[in-house]
Amino acid sequence: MKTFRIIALAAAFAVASCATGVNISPRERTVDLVARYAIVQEVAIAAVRSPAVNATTRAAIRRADVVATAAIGRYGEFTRGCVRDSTGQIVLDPEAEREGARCQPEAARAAYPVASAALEALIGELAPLQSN
Amino acid sequence: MEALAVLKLINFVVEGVSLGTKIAPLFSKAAQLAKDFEDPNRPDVTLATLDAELQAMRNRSAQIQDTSNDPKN
Repeated sequence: MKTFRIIALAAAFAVASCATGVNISPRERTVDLVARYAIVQEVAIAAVRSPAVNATTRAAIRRADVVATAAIGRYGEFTRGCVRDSTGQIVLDPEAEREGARCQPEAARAAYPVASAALEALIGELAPLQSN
Repeated sequence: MEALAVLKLINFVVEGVSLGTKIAPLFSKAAQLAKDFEDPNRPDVTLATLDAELQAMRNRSAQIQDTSNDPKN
């Protein structure tokens, strides 16, 4: 249990340090969010397979993962069509447009805190893991 | 030291090493991304890269949802 708790706390720290830097683009924010979520997901994978984690907690982790994956996926959909051009402007990517994607920066801005909160909710399920 | 305590200690170490081995590269990747974002001349993430990352996320989620490896408890 201590293993998960320690690593979940480390994951929480990693997640809390959201992307900064110069002129972060919507796609970069997505990739950054996914990269941090990957850490939490690996902890969750280990947790649901661990005999030290009870069935109730396992179910809660899975529910939280469904919500977080959907929320981050939704954020990704809003940002898929957005690309930063050579002048630094965020524009619709022609390649993405051909696939039917749109650039929705306003929707992305609204979706980001939802995605962050869902990710933190999963961390919340991992940090205080209860044993059988 | 009792046998059970020894087993718990070994399990703790093995669990930690196994999980640590998996996530250490992920911490490095997140740190590298943060560093890359400091370069003002960097090109944006390509659509292919973005889609690959999102698909990898869904693949990890599928592993979490997979109940076939659940311990019997």
